[in-house]
Amino acid sequence: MRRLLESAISKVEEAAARSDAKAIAKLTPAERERYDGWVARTAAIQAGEAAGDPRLQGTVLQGPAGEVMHGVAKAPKTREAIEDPAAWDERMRVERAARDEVRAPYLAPSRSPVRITRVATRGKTQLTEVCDYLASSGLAGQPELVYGAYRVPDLISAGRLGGEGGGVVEWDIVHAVEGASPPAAAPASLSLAAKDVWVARAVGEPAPLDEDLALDVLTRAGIGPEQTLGIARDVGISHRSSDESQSRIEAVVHGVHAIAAGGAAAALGAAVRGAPWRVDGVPPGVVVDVLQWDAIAQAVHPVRQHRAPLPSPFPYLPLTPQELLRSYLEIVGISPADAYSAQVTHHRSFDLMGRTSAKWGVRRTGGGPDLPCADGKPRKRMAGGHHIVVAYRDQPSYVEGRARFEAYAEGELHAHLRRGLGLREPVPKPAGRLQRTVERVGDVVEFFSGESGMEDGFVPPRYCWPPRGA
Amino acid sequence: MSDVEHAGWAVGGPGSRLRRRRNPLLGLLAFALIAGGVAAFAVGLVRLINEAGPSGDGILARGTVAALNGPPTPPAAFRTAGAEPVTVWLRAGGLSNVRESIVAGTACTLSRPDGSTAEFRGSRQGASVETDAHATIGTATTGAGANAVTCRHVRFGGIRNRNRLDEQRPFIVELGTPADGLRGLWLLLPGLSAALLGIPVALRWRAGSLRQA
Repeated sequence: MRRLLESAISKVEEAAARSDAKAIAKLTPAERERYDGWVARTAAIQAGEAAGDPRLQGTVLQGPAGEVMHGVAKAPKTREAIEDPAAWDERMRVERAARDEVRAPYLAPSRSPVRITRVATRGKTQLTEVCDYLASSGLAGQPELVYGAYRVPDLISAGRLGGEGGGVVEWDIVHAVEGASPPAAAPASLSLAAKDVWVARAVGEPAPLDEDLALDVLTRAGIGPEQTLGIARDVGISHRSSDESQSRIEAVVHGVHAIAAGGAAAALGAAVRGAPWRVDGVPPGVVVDVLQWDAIAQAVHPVRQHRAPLPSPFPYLPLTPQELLRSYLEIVGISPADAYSAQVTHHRSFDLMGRTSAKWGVRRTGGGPDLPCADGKPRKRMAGGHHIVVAYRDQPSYVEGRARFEAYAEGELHAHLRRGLGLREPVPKPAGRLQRTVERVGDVVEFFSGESGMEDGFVPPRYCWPPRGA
Repeated sequence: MSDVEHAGWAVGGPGSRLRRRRNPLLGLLAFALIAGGVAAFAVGLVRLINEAGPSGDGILARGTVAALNGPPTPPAAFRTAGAEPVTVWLRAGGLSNVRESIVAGTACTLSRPDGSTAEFRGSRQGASVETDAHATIGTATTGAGANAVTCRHVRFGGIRNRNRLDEQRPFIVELGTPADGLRGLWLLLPGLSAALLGIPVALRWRAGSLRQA
């Protein structure tokens, strides 16, 4: 009888374990990361180890900033923020020097210089203009000295009529060129639209990252990082509002650009034929490292239209995403000849209307001082940027460099910068005929009633929608 | 130290193969639309302010609207050379809903030289044109010679409205129709449209277009 009972209990436990395993297998990478975190925490508590405050479980920021941002501790009392631009610059230099001193022991013993040159373009012709600058500045002739180029994810003159098309859009070119260079041939560029199906994916398979696709094309074209000038996400920022309360300023990734030295045009053109392709993550021997920036920005730059408050409430944290990007390149010690891409950018649809006021729940498009732009003219600026993306050909020394960066991030910044990234999420199942009909009826009712219902927040994955077999 | 070095505009520098050109004709068009539109809007607005409502030159006669249940008031007499349109304006300010109920509770009769009459009521004129201090009761066509207009308040709406009609109010008989005073709209509305159209044209001009250097 006892044996029978034990056997029954064991069968029930096996069934429960199978069911748990099935549920865990269905978790998205982000959900799995949270799940594993809580399992580890539970194990630590059971083993009698210190597990820390549960409010900091799975968060990017730990330490003083994390404790304040997640309500564990009260915000430190800081002196009144500096308003005078000259005094602000002076204070910024002092705080930066202190951070540079802390960072110095982590820097790669052999590293290339990192310069970030910012140029102004008009939104509609931004890629053409950046390619022209790469040629006229001679950078296009030295792709082995260029880490990458990206559209600065800030919105300039938010209140301007007419959207970004005719507005100022800035680009950063990250390179190691010291001094002037003679003009070079115009670079080759390729743009892949996110709404087109470039990658064959079935439901449940991981959606490709923008850089995965661009790297695949470059690899098939036989273009290495020493010929690449950049892989840059095509980020657009636009106003979207159905009424006052639902007004959004949204940063959206519309696609990806690959920019390479001039001679690569034919190879790039040939490489895009025959889509959709099977892209299995990052090509072998290449690293795509993605870091969180927005979590730090929330702590050090609480109102995005203003200068970051100085003295900083958390002076140990970088003040700008470019500072963090530079830190990564210098600590890992990446050679620009190995770099495909270095970007401050966005991933998912991102609402810039958050963090637009010091008052909770207040969302504003205006306010803040005019801040310098690349062309020397001060304008209103809403600082964006969610992730930092660096793609490069791996080397043994970079493995050590990444370990150094990890130690720097966790030891000095008290941050887990790779947490909660939510990359390569599984491709969802498209809506069935019934669901589409219900949605259409809802749209018609909404149109005639004039009342907007729940907004459809579905944003399809990029480059692979609809999925294969749908 | 700042991490970023500002390098100016991407195109147009030394060695650049592109130049940003602005089409002067587009700029001129934008300027003409915005400047012309704003000017037309301003002139239209001024004309509207000055001409809307009864004006000194066109006033033919003044009279008083008889109170509801009150004695009749003397007619406002005037002469016209031929069959002319005339408009009766009631002098009434205050809140718009109060004013509307007073206008609706006013009836007038035009007596022509040939003995014929034309009756019109504030509540049956389609739309009443209102200025700060006046509102139309209606329009009628006179006969050549001596004409007279008499007005009285009549029952309209509930008890509260009737109380408002228990007093006499002055009225004016003006030559022409209310639309004669709204001619400023012909400048104001197209002017506004032109100015609004000029904004995207100006933005397009300002953005310019890229040309080979």
